[in-house]
Amino acid sequence: MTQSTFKLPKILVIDDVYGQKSPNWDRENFCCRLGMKDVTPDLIPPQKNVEGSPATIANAVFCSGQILKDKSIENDIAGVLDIIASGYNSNSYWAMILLDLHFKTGPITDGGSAKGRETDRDPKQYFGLKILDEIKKVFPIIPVIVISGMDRADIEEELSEKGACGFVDRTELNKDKLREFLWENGLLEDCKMIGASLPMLLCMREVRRAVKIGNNNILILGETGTGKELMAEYAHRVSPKSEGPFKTLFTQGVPGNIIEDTLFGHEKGAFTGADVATNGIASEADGGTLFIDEFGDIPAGIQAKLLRLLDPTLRECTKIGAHTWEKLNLQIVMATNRIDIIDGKDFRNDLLARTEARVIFVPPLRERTNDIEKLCSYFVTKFEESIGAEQRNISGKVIEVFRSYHWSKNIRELENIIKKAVEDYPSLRILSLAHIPEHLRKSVIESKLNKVDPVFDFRNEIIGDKTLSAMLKEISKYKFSTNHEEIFGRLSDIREAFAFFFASYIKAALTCPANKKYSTTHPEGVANYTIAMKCITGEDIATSKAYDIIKKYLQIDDNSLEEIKKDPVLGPAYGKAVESRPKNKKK
Amino acid sequence: MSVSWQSKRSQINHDWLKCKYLNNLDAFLVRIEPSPLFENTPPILRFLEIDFPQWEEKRNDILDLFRSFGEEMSPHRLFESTPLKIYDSETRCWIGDMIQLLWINRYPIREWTEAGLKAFQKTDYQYCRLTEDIGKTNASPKDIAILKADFKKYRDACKNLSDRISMLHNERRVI
Repeated sequence: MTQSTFKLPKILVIDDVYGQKSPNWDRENFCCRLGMKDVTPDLIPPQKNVEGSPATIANAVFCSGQILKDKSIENDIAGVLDIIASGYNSNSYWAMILLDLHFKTGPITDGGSAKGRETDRDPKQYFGLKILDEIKKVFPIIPVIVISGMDRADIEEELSEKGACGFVDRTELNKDKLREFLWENGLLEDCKMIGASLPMLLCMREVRRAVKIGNNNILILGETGTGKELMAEYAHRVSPKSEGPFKTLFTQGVPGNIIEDTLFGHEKGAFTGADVATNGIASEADGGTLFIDEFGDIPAGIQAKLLRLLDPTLRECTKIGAHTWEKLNLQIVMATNRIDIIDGKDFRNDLLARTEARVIFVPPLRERTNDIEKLCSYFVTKFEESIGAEQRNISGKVIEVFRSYHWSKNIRELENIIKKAVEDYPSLRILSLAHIPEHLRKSVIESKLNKVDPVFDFRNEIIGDKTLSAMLKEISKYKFSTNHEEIFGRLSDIREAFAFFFASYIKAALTCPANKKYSTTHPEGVANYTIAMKCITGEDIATSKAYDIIKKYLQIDDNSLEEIKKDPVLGPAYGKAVESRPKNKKK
Repeated sequence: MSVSWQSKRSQINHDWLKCKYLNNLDAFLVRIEPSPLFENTPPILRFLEIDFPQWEEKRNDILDLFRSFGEEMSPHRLFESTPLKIYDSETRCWIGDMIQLLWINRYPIREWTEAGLKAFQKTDYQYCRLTEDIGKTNASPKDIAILKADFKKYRDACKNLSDRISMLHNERRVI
């Protein structure tokens, strides 16, 4: 793992011993041996860098998971969840949680620790497992590594069921092991690529997992302008092939014979004009990474040769005009904006299936709005420096508009807008609304008129201060009082609320890019109802069932249905569902 | 009594040996590798003065843990409490002996105990040797760093000892 490519991640350690208040000698030593810097707010004295050994690999915040109640130490699940929530927001995310299993409770001894109860040691009642359960319900994205001195065999099955990413005996946990866990499971920001939003952190983690062996084929899918090439460079940087070369093959608009020659090279005399033998990019990438951009434009004519190169068990190529094959040791990253390529029936889909390519989706800009401000700052600085313009700040209103805009051309579109704003107004010190295109401002106003609630953002799964999971839990636990006035006549309100809730959910699924199909007539894609309903159910379902789901959940409330049918996405979907499954249709 | 044997096992192995002693020993090894920096002097000295000698307080308890395991955790002790103590003494005696025999034959109790005692002896030997060697130095971090190979052996011995304790059942088993 190339440590230097990562920004220092933040880890939460939930442990009754190390989480006790500072000064805590055991905690200090725990940090020392794992290469962590203690940044817990309770530090006494304030943190000074006492590490004389190799570089810090993470910042750590410690939490005991317990509270003092009447001279007795008791477990405190609510407190734990509050602390986790404090580090799970748009400004920062816990890279990982290290979780102890066994928490001692009971009256305080002279030494200041809990006396301990028999039940604390019962594997079925480990407090750590309860915490793990709650984390998986409320914060399922955060990776959890269980660290314990207790016997693993007793709780192996539960660890797996409750979604722990790993288990390590605390005496075997060291800096290298922690680094390995972080690399494979952590939500890590990169030093060279802007991406602190949750979709980007998850995407980068998938990339790291895909390149772990260093010999895989990786397919990067994403809309135009999402930074697929940057992601390919990231894949190279974090892989075992990072010391080797990184070579790019551009295919868009290039004739097939040129692509073949560029990729494989030729022998002297192989064709007219081949005066000298040349190596192809594939050979030049040996020991490193070959990046094929716009894989969707690869011509069918080189399919056979390409298959032998892509096949991880063969990995060989031959020059044009040659009779021998050269074995290569490299990883291959392909990128395309043709998201339907994995479902298509052409040869490229066949190639991908036969060569077991790992598929990575790069999120579009509108799904990573938390990165927009940093991207803007980056581009503003870049263009200021390139033309010697005045340094400027970006108005908060501009960021607000940018965060609400659809960005069909993604980062490239944002970059062009910033470039124009800086170049057109080189001497100004604030980038304001007046400097961004009118169509952008108009489109944001229109979306507000369509009552898009900016707080209700499925993309980051945050609803106000709550995650979707936390909100659903609250709803499920809500207890109506037996007060007649509270209960009387509320059914229609509740049905209406759920009708809009489900409508919003279905609309999100229909407008999610991964659930769309693309064509030359609809370059931005149209909703694929079957794929969208498969997405929300998490299961493989028939098309008829997809239409049934759309009908069922949009028909919850008659009054709301009239409103819902006016929506430009839901209206056609409902119409199609009724047309396809006319029984019991509502007019 | 078995409950106190289990508590003792947990207190020694989990609470002390794994969570504290080995944790602090590992940090000490990090601090003296490759060579101790000046600012690490206080924690290095603290380890030598406070943590390292804790072995002397715990050694007898650990020894007792291995020596008493076969008796304390034998399933025949189940007949000393409800519900099995309702049987008459003669029945309790022969069934208890039979269960004891089954237990010894099913699990390598003797091997575990002997391996544990061996691990204890090795750890104790390493500790005594290190104490002697430290006594011959000025106990400065630079002098101590010369002993890092021996400290690593001591660490491995402690880890092995912990693993041996972990192998001992933490509950009475009839089958």
